[in-house]
Amino acid sequence: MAFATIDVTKGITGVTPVANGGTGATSFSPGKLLQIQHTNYNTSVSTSDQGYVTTGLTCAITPSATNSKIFGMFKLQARGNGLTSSYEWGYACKVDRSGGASGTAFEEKSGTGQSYSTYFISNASGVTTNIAQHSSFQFLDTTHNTTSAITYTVFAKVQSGNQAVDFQNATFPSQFTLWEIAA
Amino acid sequence: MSYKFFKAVRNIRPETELSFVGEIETEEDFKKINWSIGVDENGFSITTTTNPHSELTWTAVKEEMDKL
Repeated sequence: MAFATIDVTKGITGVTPVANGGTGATSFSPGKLLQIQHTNYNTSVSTSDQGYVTTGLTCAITPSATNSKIFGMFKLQARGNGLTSSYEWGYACKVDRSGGASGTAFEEKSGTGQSYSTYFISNASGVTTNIAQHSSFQFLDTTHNTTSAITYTVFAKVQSGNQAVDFQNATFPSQFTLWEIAA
Repeated sequence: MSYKFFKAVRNIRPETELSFVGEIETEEDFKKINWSIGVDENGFSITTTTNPHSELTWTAVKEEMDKL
């Protein structure tokens, strides 16, 4: 005789051994990964600005707890336009929060000078050079302290007004993924 | 295409700092450029869509682009 339903709140105790198809576990520990949000962005944004401007790449998340951690991973597609005889040039990026939290969540290196970690290099000085590349970055936000929606925006600045960078060049996409991890 | 635009701007006025979305192919696109006029205390560019460089007219930039 088959049972149509079983009330699991009554009369079921003990551990189902692995040999019998169970886990052998006496208790259950819920996972730490609470949610993932992802953005794929392919609108071209170009800049020759030495101050931070938006790359257009954003990702939003509504944390389920104020003390959770937000792990961010983003990949920037960029094409560098070497407009002069200078043989190396680059860009730097940062991520700022808006909405439920504010401030900078990530910056490669603040200040000026050697703060441009992503370089385009040509060995043929004096020759116009255009190079496309993908660069990945990661950050961990442990200070959002909110359950309101947060938008993370990627900003970038270039090394010189005589050089330019096209993000999402020719609509090749950049991506941004946010993972909420339980405390 | 953005390469030609940046090259034309640089030929007319080197070290010009600007940013834009999409491509600059028409005068309407040109009017949407964000021209940098400084940097704030957090490193963000201070921008305006009012072109602060009199020599960088759409006509002049287009003419230079057509030469490239």
